[in-house]
Amino acid sequence: MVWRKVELPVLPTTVIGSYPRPKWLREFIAGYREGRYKEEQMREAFDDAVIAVLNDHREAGVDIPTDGEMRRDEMVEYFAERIEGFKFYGPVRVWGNNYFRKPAVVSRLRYRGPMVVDEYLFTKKVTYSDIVKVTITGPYTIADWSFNEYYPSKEELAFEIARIINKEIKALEEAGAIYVQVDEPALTTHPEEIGWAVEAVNEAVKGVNIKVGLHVCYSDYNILKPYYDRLNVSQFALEFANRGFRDLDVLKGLNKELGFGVVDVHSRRVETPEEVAAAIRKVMEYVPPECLFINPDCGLKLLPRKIAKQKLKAMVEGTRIIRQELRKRGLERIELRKDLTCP
Amino acid sequence: MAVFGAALVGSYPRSEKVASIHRKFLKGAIEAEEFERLIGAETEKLIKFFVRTGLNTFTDGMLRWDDIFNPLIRFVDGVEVNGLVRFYDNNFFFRAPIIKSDPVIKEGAPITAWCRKGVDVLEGLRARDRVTLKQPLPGPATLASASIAEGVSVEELIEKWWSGVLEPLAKELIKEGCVPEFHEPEVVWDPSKKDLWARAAELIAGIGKGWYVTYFRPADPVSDVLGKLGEGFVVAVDLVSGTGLENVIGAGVKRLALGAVDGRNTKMERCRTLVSLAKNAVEKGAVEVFVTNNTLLDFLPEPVARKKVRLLGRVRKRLARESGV
Ligand SMILES: [Zn+2]
Repeated sequence: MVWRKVELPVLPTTVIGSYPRPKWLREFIAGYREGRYKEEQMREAFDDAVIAVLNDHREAGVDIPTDGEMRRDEMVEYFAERIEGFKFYGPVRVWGNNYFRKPAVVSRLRYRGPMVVDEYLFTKKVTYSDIVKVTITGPYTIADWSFNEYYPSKEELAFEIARIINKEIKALEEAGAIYVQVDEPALTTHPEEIGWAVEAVNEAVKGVNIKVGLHVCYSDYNILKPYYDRLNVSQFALEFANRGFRDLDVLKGLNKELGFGVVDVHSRRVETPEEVAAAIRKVMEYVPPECLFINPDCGLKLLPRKIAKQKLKAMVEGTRIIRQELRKRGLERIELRKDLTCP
Repeated sequence: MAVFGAALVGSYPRSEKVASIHRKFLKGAIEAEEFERLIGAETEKLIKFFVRTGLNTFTDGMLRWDDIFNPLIRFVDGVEVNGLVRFYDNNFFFRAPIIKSDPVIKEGAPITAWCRKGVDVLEGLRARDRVTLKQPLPGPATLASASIAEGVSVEELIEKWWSGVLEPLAKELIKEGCVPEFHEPEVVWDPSKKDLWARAAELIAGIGKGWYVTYFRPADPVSDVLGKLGEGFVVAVDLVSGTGLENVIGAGVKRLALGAVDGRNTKMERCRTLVSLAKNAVEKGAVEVFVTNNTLLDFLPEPVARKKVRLLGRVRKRLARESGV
């Protein structure tokens, strides 16, 4: 497959990736782990859950959905389980009584074959939309959230992972995906490493001919700012609702498309469409509307499903308010772009 | 003649069982008393494990603690507990104290009682004369820096935390047979404030004895600060983050804990390497040397932490054999 022309309404609405697993799916997974269901049945349950998620996204009016990452327990773990060379010793605590199965790199990492291509193909098959977005955890975050027992440095580890992620993105491209988002929540956490971390991301997207977004959240974006030009991605999807739409000054000098976070995924209060519209108006002082996508701050998976859906609805309705205003200026549709700069 | 030892600083990770006790308590499925009984029993098992492995100085594993600040700050008047804040450059988060008025330790705060329970376990094992039990506390510099306070300087906060909370607590701990272990990662994290940190170290030195633990960055840029602590203190430095022992010893620190077992990596260290590090420190002028984990073991999966504790035990035995102590 090659790049194709896709038209979208101006200010396309999308999600960052994850969505709450339906209660019945969580129960089914628990049953599967206890050995009560066969793998085949588990797969069917995941498929059904993806259909349910897409239905929520459709009802909310989201232009570019994902599969809600229904099949993924955790964003690093999922990939570490599918790359040769990782080992799991057990969970580590992240805060309070909350844990994460942090993987350890114990031998040379090798790409064992597609990790999320089947996810993409199923989503594509059942979606209501023209295009879908596929998320993939970035090399720096996987390296940073793993124990490194094998590589001489974290940098070498990150670049090895980058080459593996690159193969996966190319496999997605081959399968027909045209929009991939690399998730790098850890990207700015060690400011002294950002210089090579950015190059690891570039390594992961090298030679890719589809649209690539980069999601970075709960970070000091001033650390990212000097690297806007260096990053070979077409969009930054950033979180702004959580910070009350302050710090928009970091967008000065941004020459890429922005995925603008308009709803807070860590608060159960559902934003109003007017609040969303006001935020979009504010960001348009920094980024022209033809270079703007509208999305939540981050993955929605920690919210109750009902609230997640209401937040998506508010996001879409708020976006529609601004679209009305833009229509008067003759701006109604844009083309999906993979260019590294915008406008 | 030099004295060698192997020690555990800070926390030990929650096993699946300990995690499930916390989960039940958080869900309200068990009462506070039952929680304390179960955690107490797990702590006892852990202390017995430490004794068996041959560690001669350790904590109780902090199974009741979420991080180095909590639940201590819940037992302090004048403080509210904030949302989550990243703990330095780790994918680990703690709840920070918000200062509403001068912090003062509450009457009946259970920290000392917890440590006393650990001492009782040691007495039951007839191990009290052989081993030292430490109680980790956030150091004044680290606690002041983590505090959210409007219009109060870090300098003032250091004094307030010290006089209202840490000093009375540390004195009480010593009375009960526990040694206070002050965690001061902030001091090495931001050496530019070393004048302030020196003042905080002087306050700590006034207690007369204890451990002073630094981690996440090398300690040699703040050697002068460490030199303020005096002979009553063992100073722990993070050798995984960097070396520079000469400067630390040169500043007058003669009792050293070498944080050479990496609490942030599952890779196992070699016993031989750790033993030579300890001997090397003595050659450089240290008179008492412990080999320890460099930081909280909470960053490791529990089975790996268990292996690393056993390794520390082997290190001590080997050092004892080879040095004739
Ligand atoms: Zn995110």
